[in-house]
Amino acid sequence: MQCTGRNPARFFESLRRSGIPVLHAERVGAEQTLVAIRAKDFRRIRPAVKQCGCRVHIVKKSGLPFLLFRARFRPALVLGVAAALLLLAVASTRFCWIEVRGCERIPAEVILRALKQEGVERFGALPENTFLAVAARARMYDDRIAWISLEKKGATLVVKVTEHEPVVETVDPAVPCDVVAVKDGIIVRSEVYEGQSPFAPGDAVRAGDVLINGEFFPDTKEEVTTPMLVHARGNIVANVFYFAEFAAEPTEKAFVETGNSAPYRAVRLFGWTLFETEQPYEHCEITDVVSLPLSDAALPLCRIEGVCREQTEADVPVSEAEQIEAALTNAEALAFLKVPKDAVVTDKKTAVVREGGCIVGVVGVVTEETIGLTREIPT
Amino acid sequence: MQKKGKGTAMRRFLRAMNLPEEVDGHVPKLTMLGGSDLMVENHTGILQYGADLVRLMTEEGVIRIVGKSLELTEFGTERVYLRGTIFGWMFEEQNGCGIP
Repeated sequence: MQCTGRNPARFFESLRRSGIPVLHAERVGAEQTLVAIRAKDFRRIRPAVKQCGCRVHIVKKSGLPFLLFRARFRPALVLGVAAALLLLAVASTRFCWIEVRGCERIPAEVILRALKQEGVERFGALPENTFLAVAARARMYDDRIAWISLEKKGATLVVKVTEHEPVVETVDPAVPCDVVAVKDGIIVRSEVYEGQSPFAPGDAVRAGDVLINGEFFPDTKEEVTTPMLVHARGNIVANVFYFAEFAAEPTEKAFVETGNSAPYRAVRLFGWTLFETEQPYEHCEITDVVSLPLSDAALPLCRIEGVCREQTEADVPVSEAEQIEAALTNAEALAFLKVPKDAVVTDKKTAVVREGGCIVGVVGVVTEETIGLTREIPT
Repeated sequence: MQKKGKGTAMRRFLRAMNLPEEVDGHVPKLTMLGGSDLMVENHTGILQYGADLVRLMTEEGVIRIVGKSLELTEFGTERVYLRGTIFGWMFEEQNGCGIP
């Protein structure tokens, strides 16, 4: 507003005494001052104006109420703003990404798979009050998980994972011990620093086999009667095989049409259904849909016409190609879940067998990893 | 001459306790940002407002702010925020007439 008077300071002082804050004041002439105040205070300034002998008139109105008032004849703009706000509100309840943190030994896919089983997926909505319950159930999927916490940060669901500390048996370096295999495999490389290894690269070993002996007779020209006892040390790398299988059923549950049908009508606005005919069947599918815009309406309404066809759940045969694909995909996923994170995958073999009418997919993953574990020599 | 107000004893106490003196709400506090922004807290009113001169009343006396194109970007019951080219500010004499 513009305040005309010789002494604007007096006017400001009156406003201050009335508890009216001045948001901006600028001298624009000898007796003119531009003053900004809140719209709701305008009626309260009348006593101050009379008291100071100045004149006040509104120059410009700004702010959300005035903006909305000016936009009252532009319904498309108002609707657009409302739609944007609604979209923002809906989007804020969902998350677009899932970020798994803290996984060192457990593959992140294990966590994602566990969450998927609990119904947590990208673009899903998960109320924050269910985070604790979902996390508690998800950590039951793998023994290596000690704790899982879920946190929503913007559009990202952050999954913090705490793994169980691996139990490392510390063996006194002075105590004689062997290095034994913890897994079945075929030795690829063998580096022996202390002790003697009975295996060479290419040999197959079973879990529990002694890879490096801590008790051995040294290769000397002289005859030795007592064995040497050392703390065996070395690095034995072997190819380890991880197998998984999955049986795909020849049939699957699916909805099929019964032959009964009923007409379907609906009215939609921007894709939202405002009205639709009641569906007479428990399970049905709408087909032959035709969308006809209502030309006489002020809003862009659409009339939808179609046929509601009744469906019932039945066993539907699955083609052999689909069975094979499902069996191999699931078997591969299961096999990779068994592979430790620090192992290097070198090869993958797949096979399909028929067993009792089912198609079974078998997937073998070959890795290269260290399989030695130090263990005291049993007495 | 220092004005003897009701805040004097409180200020002495705060000073003795090594606490900030402006917390008693009577001592004016001036914060200046560069040469363009000045915030005066704990003022008791405005005496004069012009594009070149602003005079504010405080418990300690009248503060005279001299500058060019001075704007009040905020004027509340206790706080004034001034923006413009500020040449300087000073306390006027306490005899009530001020510096012309």
